Amino acid sequence: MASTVRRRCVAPLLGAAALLFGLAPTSKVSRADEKIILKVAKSSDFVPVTPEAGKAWWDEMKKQFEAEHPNVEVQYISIPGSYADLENKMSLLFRSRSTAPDVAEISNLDIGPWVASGYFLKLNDYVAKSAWWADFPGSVKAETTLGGDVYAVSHGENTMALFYDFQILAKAGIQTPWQPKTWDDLLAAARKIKATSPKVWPLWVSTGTAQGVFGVETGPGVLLLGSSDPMIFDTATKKWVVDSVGIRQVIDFYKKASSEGLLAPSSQLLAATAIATPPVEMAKGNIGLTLGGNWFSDQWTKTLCAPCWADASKHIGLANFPTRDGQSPDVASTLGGWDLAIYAKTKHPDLAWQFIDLTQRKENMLACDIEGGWVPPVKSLASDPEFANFAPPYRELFAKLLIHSVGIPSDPNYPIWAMGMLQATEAAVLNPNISTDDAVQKLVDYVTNQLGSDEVEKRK
Amino acid sequence: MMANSRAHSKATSSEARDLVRLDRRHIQWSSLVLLSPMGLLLFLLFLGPVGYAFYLGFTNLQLIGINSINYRFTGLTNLIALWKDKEFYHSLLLTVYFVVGSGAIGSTAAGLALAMLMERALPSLRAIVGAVAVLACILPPVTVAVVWYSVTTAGGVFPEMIGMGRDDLLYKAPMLVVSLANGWSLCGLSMLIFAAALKNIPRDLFEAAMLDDATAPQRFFRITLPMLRPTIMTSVLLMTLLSFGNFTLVFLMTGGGPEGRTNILPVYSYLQAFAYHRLGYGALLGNVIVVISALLGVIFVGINLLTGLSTRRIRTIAGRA
Repeated sequence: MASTVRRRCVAPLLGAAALLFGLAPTSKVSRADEKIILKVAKSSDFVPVTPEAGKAWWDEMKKQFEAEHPNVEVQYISIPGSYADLENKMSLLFRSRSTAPDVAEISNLDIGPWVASGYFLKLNDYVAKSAWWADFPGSVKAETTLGGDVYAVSHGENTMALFYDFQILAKAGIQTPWQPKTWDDLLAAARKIKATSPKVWPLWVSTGTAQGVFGVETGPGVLLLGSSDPMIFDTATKKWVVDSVGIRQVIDFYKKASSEGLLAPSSQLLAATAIATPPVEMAKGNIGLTLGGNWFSDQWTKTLCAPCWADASKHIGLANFPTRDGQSPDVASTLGGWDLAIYAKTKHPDLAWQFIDLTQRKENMLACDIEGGWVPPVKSLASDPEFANFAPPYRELFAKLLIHSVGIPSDPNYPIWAMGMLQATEAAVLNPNISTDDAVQKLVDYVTNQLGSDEVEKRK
Repeated sequence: MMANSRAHSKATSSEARDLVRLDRRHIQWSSLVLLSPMGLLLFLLFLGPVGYAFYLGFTNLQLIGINSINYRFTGLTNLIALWKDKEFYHSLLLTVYFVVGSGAIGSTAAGLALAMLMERALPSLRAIVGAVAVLACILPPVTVAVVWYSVTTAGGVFPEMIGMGRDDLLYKAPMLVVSLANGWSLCGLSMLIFAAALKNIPRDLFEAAMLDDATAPQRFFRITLPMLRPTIMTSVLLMTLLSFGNFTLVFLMTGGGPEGRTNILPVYSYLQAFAYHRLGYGALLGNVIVVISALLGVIFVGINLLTGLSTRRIRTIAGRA
């Protein structure tokens, strides 16, 4: 019996061993014609205005690069989902050398923690030899420069301004073109809109924790920049500002607008997908005044068609978002950029840089910013007729805001301050009867609880 | 004869060793070999990762930042931070409301009510209601979140029904709405459990009770509920554990807001790990969820054991009597 068992077992075991041996990798002989793989991680649907437009541009970059470098294959790692999904997936990719991309598309919002992780290569020597770098405004260079070292290069910027509906304002008796000078002008216009067009949402200024950290840039961040004290992080004391005249002014704005019923419904303003709502609702004539980004107007073009609105410029005007009391610099706009960085331990740093350099060529950058819905980081391109004529007159106006726009502090703890600020302003929207002290206290408590009382300060 | 009797007694004692008392618990050691593949999978896919997560909860690991690569064991630092974290206690309290309110109580009570109503319903109505209830529990959490978001925000069915007009019911009472959504999505499963259990209650108990002029509430509280006690315990535990893990529903509907009013532990853990990049602290919050879930399981097993013991004692006493 035992010998029978042995006979029955040996044959299959020998067969399995033979199969495994046959499948075992043999030692590779290096071949000169083996392609180098250059991995590029990028957003598939959050960053470009439409996924199709984004894919078209990236495919073109791959085609051009592979034509110039026949021994290189560009492999894209396309990351779907929201801003948080993109950032999280990207960070997980970097945790292992085998999965880390050579080139990564990241937001300037978190450049500080990215750099602190040690994931990115310093690009000082590369940018020094690049003519286009000199053409970047100081604010754009500053986005990706820490401690004097350049860690990434912008391939598109976002600025913020105020859209207004011509017909709705005309009905409210407001002459166009229109440029409000102060926040009171804004609220007065919203009141008139509410009185004359009751079914319309008078004012869209979003906030809400559901949008995540990005929500500050498109809402309370703009207001804070227009306030009397826009400081978020005190670089002198290295502390987060949790109470200031500026923060109180922002909260009071939301409170006033909400208490008078001037804001869009909370479910729209505070939703996780709030950023996608205004271009659609404006095309339907449902919003009077909208604080929005440059990509809103790009979405109406025939190319992007999200939604298609060929004669948008006949219905929607654009104005600078004013400062609270009309104080200098008269305009408030956050600056948000999407950058390309190189992995610090990449085996092909020169190739990675050449890929970035390719994306910075005039025709590619124009195509990128047209299809990505961005303002070009390069001054000469921002005034290029091809760029401006893609979505006139909006692009030209948004591009002019580039030098006035201010970036968010790049610090690892910024997300905590951002969530606290979103909570405080969200409270003002949902419960406009809340006192300003109580609303501010939410920011104070939240940031203090997370970071400790040593990391916060109150400015009066 | 002596040899025969010795052989006989040897055979008897070996037979006795081979014979197993079926009325007593015993372990078949050979079964461990057959269970070992499952054990290995359990270790690799569950115990191993959970153990590693426990370790990470005591480190300063970040998603991105100076400690994303060079992280270290920080001892009790995270635990001390947890102790001092007011938002953690707030989150824990919200989790209790959510899990107990909508999971343990809400969906169990709704499931029992549905199962009892279904017993009396017309067959056609029973089929339709049963199908809808089961559909609710098999819908993905994303779909449940989108449906409830649309019916509880401005212009939705519920605000219109209660005359809220353009107001958002979701943002006025966020914890209530997400709890209702969770209870709605789970009550179908609870209904199925109770429907099966109700069929196992002997009908003659009800007939005997009716002969004694027992009212419907009396029959319910004196017969149905006691007979369903083990099923209720099972349903409560299952609904509680399912609610504990229901991150998707709350995150999609409110993101933990507004103002942190639906910031249950799973959402807060996500926020810490992936919004604030504090993976170590987020892991610790996740460990708290695992510990609480394990405690609930232990309590359930303990109650079952005690119930079983007391039932056996009653039978023993009854047998002796």
